[in-house]
Amino acid sequence: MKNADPIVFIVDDDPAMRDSMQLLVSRMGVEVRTYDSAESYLDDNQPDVPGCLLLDIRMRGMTGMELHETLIRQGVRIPTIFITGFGDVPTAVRATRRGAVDFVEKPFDQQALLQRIRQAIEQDKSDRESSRQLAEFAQLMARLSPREREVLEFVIEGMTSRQIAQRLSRSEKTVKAHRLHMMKKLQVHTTAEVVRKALTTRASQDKG
Amino acid sequence: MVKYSQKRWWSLTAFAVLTAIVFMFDIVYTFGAVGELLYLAVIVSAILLLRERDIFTVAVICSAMALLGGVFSADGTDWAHMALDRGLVVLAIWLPAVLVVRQWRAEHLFKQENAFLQLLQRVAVAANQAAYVEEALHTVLDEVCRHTGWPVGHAYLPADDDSGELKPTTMWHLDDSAQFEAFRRVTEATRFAPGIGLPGRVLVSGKPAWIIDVTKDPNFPRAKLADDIGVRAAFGFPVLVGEEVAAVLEFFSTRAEEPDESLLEVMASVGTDLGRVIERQRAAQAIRESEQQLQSITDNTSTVIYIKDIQGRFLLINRRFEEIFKMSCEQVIGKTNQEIFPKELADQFYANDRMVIDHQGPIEFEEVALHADDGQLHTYLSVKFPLYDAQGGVYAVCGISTEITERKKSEQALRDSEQRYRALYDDNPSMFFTVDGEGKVISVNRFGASQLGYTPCELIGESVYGVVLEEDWPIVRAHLAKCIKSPGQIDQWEFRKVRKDGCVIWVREAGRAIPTDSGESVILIVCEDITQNKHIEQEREQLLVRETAARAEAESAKQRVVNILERVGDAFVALDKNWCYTYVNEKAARTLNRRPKDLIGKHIWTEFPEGVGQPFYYAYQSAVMRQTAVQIEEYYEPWDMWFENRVYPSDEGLSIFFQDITQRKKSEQALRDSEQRFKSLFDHAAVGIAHVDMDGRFIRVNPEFCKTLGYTQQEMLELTFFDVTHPDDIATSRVRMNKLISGPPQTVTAEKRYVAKNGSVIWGNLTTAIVDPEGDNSRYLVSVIQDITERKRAQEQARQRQAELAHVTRMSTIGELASGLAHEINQPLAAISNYVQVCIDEIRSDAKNPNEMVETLSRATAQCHRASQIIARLRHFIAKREPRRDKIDVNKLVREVVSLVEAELRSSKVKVDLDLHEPLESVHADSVQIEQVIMNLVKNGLEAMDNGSADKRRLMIQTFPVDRDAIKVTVKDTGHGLSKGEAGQVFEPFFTTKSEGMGMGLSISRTIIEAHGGRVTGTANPDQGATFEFVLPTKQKEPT
Repeated sequence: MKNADPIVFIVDDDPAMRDSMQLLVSRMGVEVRTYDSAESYLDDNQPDVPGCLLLDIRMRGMTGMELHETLIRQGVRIPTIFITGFGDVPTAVRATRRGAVDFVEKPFDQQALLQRIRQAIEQDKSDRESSRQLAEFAQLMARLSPREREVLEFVIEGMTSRQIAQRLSRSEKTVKAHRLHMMKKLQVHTTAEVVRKALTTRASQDKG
Repeated sequence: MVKYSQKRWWSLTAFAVLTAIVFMFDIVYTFGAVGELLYLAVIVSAILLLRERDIFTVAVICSAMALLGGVFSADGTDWAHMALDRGLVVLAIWLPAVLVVRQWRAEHLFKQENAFLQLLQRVAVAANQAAYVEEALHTVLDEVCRHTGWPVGHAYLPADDDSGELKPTTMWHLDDSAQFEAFRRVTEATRFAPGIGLPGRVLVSGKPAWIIDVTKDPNFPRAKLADDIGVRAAFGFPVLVGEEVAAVLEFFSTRAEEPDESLLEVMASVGTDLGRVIERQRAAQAIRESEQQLQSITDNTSTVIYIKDIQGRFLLINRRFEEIFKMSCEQVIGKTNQEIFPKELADQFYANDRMVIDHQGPIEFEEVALHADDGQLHTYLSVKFPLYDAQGGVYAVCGISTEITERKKSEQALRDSEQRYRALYDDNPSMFFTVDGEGKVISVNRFGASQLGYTPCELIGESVYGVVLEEDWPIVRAHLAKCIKSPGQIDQWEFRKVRKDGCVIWVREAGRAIPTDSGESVILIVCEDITQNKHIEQEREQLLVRETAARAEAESAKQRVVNILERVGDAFVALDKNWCYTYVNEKAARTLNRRPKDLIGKHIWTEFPEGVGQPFYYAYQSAVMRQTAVQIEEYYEPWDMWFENRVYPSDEGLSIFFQDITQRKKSEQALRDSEQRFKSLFDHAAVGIAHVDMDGRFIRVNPEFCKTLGYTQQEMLELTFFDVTHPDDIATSRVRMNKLISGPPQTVTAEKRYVAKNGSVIWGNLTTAIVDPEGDNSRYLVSVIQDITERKRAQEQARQRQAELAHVTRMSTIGELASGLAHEINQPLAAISNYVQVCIDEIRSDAKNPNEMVETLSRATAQCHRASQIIARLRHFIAKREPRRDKIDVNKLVREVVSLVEAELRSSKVKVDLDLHEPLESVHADSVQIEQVIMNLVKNGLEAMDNGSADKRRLMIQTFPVDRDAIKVTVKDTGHGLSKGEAGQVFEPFFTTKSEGMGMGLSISRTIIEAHGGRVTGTANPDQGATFEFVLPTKQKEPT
């Protein structure tokens, strides 16, 4: 999984655009898959590899924006670059707020586009990596005992061991022992690290 | 009678006394036979002294006395002796008396017979010798008076009126006029009704009548009118013509006398004889009169009259015939047509004559005859009819030919003048003057001036009286004044003019006053030289003077006269010296609306008092006073009619031929009016009028046409119709002209361009027809040209405005489509950019693959092409250019429009179905405008579907042929449709259901389609949405 080659998906109903984009993007040395409509893209089984989606906003049938919304609804996270024409900029801006990576306005600077594709792929890779780590941390957290999870909550709130002990009406030592077990189970070494990871994981869980 | 009776009484008494004395002597003295012998002496003296009856009276007395004396005598003893004696005496008394009386009677009868015979003979001779009835009556009066020894004879004639009375005459036999003066006076003053007086009694009975003593007769009115009329006995007898009493002759004696029956018998036969004479003379007189009239008419009439027998030989010709063919009567009579006329004319006449003989009735022909005087062919209207002999067979053909050349010519001249008004004034061989009321010449045409030996300049501004003979100044002055007084009326007059060289010419002028702008009237005068006519008139006059009494002719002539008088073209009346009608022919009677017999003998001015003071009145007076023939054509106001009169004075009075020429005058007037109208029309028409000959040269142009094109009339007339036609229109003009010349008669209307003198283009609406006024192929074109430059300009402006508006709305449409279009263009641009980048990368890389690069670049080129097509489509749609018509393929335009809205279709998720009929006939239209219409309908459909459900948005565009020569384009959407109210309004300007947009799209579409001769409609679909459609004709409209 880690070593899987990235794929660039191009969805455009204009054959010339599809063709030229494929030529251009494939020169980056990545695999390119093209689709002539949003529907055909959705119908295809997507491999779980890093990549990015180049999406034309205006298309017959389902538009790029609708496809994007569908993907978000389905929880598919793929960096998406909207290719916009004249007058579609406001739509594209709205799209980025929803999590699209970027948009380019036709005609565009190919180098910049390729750069963004590269960035998108990199980001996808890192996203995929961080989400993998978050998933692992979440699994570790699941192994915590209720008391350890309670202690983790107070740690995240920034309480010291003594404050926690007072809250729980336990001895400071007991609290420290829970805290140590919790740190061990979560395979972290510092309080800061456990707080960051816990918050990140919780944020991604809230979102998902 | 008293005297006579007394005398008789005395003589009888004397004889009675003598007889008594003899008786006494006889009985006193006895001398035997002596006494008896005395009786013989008495009877002898009675025979010598007394008349027949009285002799017998005396004889009776003597016989009685002698016998009585025998009784009383002395020697009365011897009775036998005495009886013998007395018997012998009585015998002696009676014997001589009877013998003498018988002898006397025989002698008397013989004498009487003799005298009667002589009388009858004399009467017969006198009557036969008498030229007139009056003369015969006179002779009879004289003869009867001589025969009877009566001193007075007088004739009564029936009165001319219808009273049936007898009127006295001045025919008298008077032995002593002084003695019977009173009676003559009384008689000449007395008329008798039938049964009244002696003549009245004779008139009623038709038999002779005797009055013993008029003073004692109760039915003799004249006796009471004077103290002593000096006459006593009277007898009268009728002159009988058949049953009719033609006269009553009466004779008077100074003594009362017993009726003499034998005399009356003789008188009756005298009357009958005289009647026959009168009858014969009347007939002869009638023939003579009608002969004279015939001759007078045939010779004076302007018509040509001739009679030919059935072999075609001339039997009679009139003087007009002699004049026009320059042949005398002697040369012509007995000849045939062929002998005196050229063959062609002779054949014509012969054929017509034959036709009349075969037809056995009158026929009218139009014939031509060659005049010897001018060598010209003249046209005649001939009425020919057969003449019948006593057995009813046709023996001759009579022809009456009236010349109609002049009429035709004058009509022709008027028509010509109507058509050639321009030339009329200057070059027409008539003299034209315009003068003011004072007689100052305002203008004169060249011909008019030259006829008088002047140039126009010499006359203009001068008084017209300078060329009028001084004696005729009053005539001219009077007529000019008359013209001014009644403007518009035509007045004619004749007078003499003096040429510059001093020659005097006769002219006839026709003038009419016309008001001018300044309020003053000017008089237009047409003047005609009639010197020649005047000469002819004078000659004719002389001929008329030389005219002698007419020839005698047979009874058949009478029929001829009647025929001719009935048919002669002219009305004819004859007047005597006292202005009384002596003859009125049928035609005249009809014209005068009276019966001839009502007019005969009547005074013309009593019968027609309204005529006094009229021009004819003066003409007749002048003819009588100057003893010259007068010809006059004048208006007769009382009847509102025109007459042409020819008046010939003669010894008997006047012969007047006249014709009702009202019709002709009216038609002349109508022609003149029409000429005037034409002139005004031509000169003042607000449209251009041009007459063009077959080669395109202008014959006449009116001022308006000249003004329109900026040329003077003179310049125009040197140009041809093609010189002023716009070069681009010359070809079509030629085609049009050829069509007019060679095609059926027609009027052609067209719009075409002219080039004015200053080079500007004038649009004209031209209406042209070909006319052939003479009917002889001297055809020309009449063109009426209306300057429609302004209209064209306005139309052009309207068209431009519409084009501008269309352009503005197209721009607005494009504005609405802008983002979609930009996208459409960016699409290929982006692709190109990609391809180029790929190539650049390829070049920069180490492993170059030229084949791949070529492939990539050719793909880029394809996209360039695609982009340029979009631009071209856009440019076509927003082009601002002059509208023009080409053959266009509507299917192609539909596809273009769909391309232009491609982006919109995509963004609004509309599915478009095209159902285009292939091949579709092309239409002649402006492609940009039709594309705009399709665009408007498509956009309208797309916008209608904005709010509907996305998966139902369908736009169906169809094209298909309709009605054989049109195509239809329908755009059907599934939008919100049209409400009933909207369907009527959608094509109105500024109607819109949307928040944005001007609402001009459909309005412009309708303007465009209607300008192309099509129509556009919008209707709601039964299920959903609306359908907009338009129809365009495929047939190219005639270029106008």
